[in-house]
Amino acid sequence: MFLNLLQHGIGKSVEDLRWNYTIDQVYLFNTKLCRKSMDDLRENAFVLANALVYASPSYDEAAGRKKQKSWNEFINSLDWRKVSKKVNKKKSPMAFANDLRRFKVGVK
Amino acid sequence: MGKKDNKKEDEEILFPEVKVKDYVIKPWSFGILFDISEMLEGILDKLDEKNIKLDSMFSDEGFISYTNILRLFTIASKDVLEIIAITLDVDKEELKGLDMADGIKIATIIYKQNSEMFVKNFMAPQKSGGKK
Repeated sequence: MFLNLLQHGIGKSVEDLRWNYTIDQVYLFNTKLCRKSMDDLRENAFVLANALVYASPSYDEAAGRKKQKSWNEFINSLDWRKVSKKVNKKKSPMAFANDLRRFKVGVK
Repeated sequence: MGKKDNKKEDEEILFPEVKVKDYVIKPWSFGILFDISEMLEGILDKLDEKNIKLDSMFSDEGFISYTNILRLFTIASKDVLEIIAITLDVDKEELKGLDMADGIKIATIIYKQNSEMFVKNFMAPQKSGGKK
């Protein structure tokens, strides 16, 4: 556990971790690092899977376009500016009214 | 979707310091835990001598009442004093000069900050009825 922390730049030495970090902090950082390394592996698997689909041969134009579209969507999902723009996008009045109708609030 | 009450938030873990008078109280590090393990053992021995079960001092959620903290002080004052001195990194004599209310406040904070350690390491083996 200490080695894992030191390898990721947390703490200057084992003695530093032993005396200057609380037990909770050591466990917290270790858990976060484990989670991050698993997330990285998961992300790599996603990239690999998407890349394999993108690089596979297409037998007609429509399938090629579809693949290109899904690859673009995937790449955009890794772009923070695009993701945050999507989250912060203001809804049009019509979309807002549709939402209200969906939740059964009367809109004239 | 609230988190469990007794689960510490990240902020609590990252910024755990509490100040009482001039003393900064921080949860134990692994180094301190090794240093105080002898005194913790001493407290358990003294409780055994008096036929007091440690888990009877804690509620089911692992909380200890003010009265039971006072009981612990009375039974194992030397060990408790030593633990507080090591935790705060001050001299025992200096702690003896503290007034009772501050002393109990500091002891309570130390317990609260490290309660998980008590519950996990000291109550669990006793509750299960023997050594691991």
